[in-house]
Amino acid sequence: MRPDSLLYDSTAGIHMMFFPLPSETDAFTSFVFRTDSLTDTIHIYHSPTQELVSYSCGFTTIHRIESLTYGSNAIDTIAISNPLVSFSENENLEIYVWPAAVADTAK
Amino acid sequence: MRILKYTSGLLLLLILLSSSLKAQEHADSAMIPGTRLRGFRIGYDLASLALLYFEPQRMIYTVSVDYEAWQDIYPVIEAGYQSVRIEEDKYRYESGGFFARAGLDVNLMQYERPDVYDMIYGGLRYGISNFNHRADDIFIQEDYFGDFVNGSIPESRITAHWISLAGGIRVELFNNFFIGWSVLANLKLAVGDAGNMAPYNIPGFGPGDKKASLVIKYSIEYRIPTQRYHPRKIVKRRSES
Repeated sequence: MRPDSLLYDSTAGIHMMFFPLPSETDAFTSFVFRTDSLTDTIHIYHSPTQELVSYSCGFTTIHRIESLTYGSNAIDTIAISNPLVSFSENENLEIYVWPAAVADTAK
Repeated sequence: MRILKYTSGLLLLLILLSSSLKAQEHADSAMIPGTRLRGFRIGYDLASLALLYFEPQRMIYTVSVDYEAWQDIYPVIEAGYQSVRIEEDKYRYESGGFFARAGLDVNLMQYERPDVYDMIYGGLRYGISNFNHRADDIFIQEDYFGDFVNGSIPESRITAHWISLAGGIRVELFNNFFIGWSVLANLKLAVGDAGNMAPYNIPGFGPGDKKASLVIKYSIEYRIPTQRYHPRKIVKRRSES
């Protein structure tokens, strides 16, 4: 486990975010989603496995998102659009937030 | 490719030379009726020695047996073992297993005498390989959560199937001693679940991530002369044709 750190300081105008996932857990990784007045925690339950990229490049970790839990203060819904997380920049989650949270973030 | 060109040129020259010498030896003898020698021919592939220089992490040992069951038609079996050991900073990989190829070679050369065994041939093979592979000491750089170390992909046993088109030349250097080279063009038919990594190399086939591959053999062979037979095909002197 690593200490908490700030991944994104402001999401105003951001349409895509990258969440790092650790290679050495088969439990879950948590991220806190906070606006000025609303806070939710997203728990991503994922299974990491190592996969060969090539014999010259070595290995990478791919994750299968098994399930999600999240608060509903700012977040309306999170849809898993692609459960396989690889090193390519495919979209894996779609996060829908309440209009109030958007307004809060835009302040 | 230059080496191949020179080698094939040399072998063709040897075929011509050997045929010419044998023709001189038998110049005064009557051509027909003649007999042909046959017996199991056992070979070893020397091309793998080139791996010591070009691909030292891989070693393959291949033996072959063929037999002239019918005139110009040779059922053939090739079998071998391959081992791979790759040691990189980011991982260690090991693989090993057996393979077999079975099929037929057909001689395409026209002889002036029945007791000539030099060949230019084409053939077909079915290949199968059973091998295992594993990776250890996997290292993955991760800036946010810290590097991932000592990962492993456990051993998995894999079976692969393929077919090959074969072509080659062979020359009888001395009585019953042959050398020759051949090329196998392989097309993969099926391969078992290899886990999260494509095999580095499928024994007897070639690169594990490829659907098609080429294998080059350079063999020395010895035929155990066990039988003489009268070939059915009527062989004519060039001057008579």
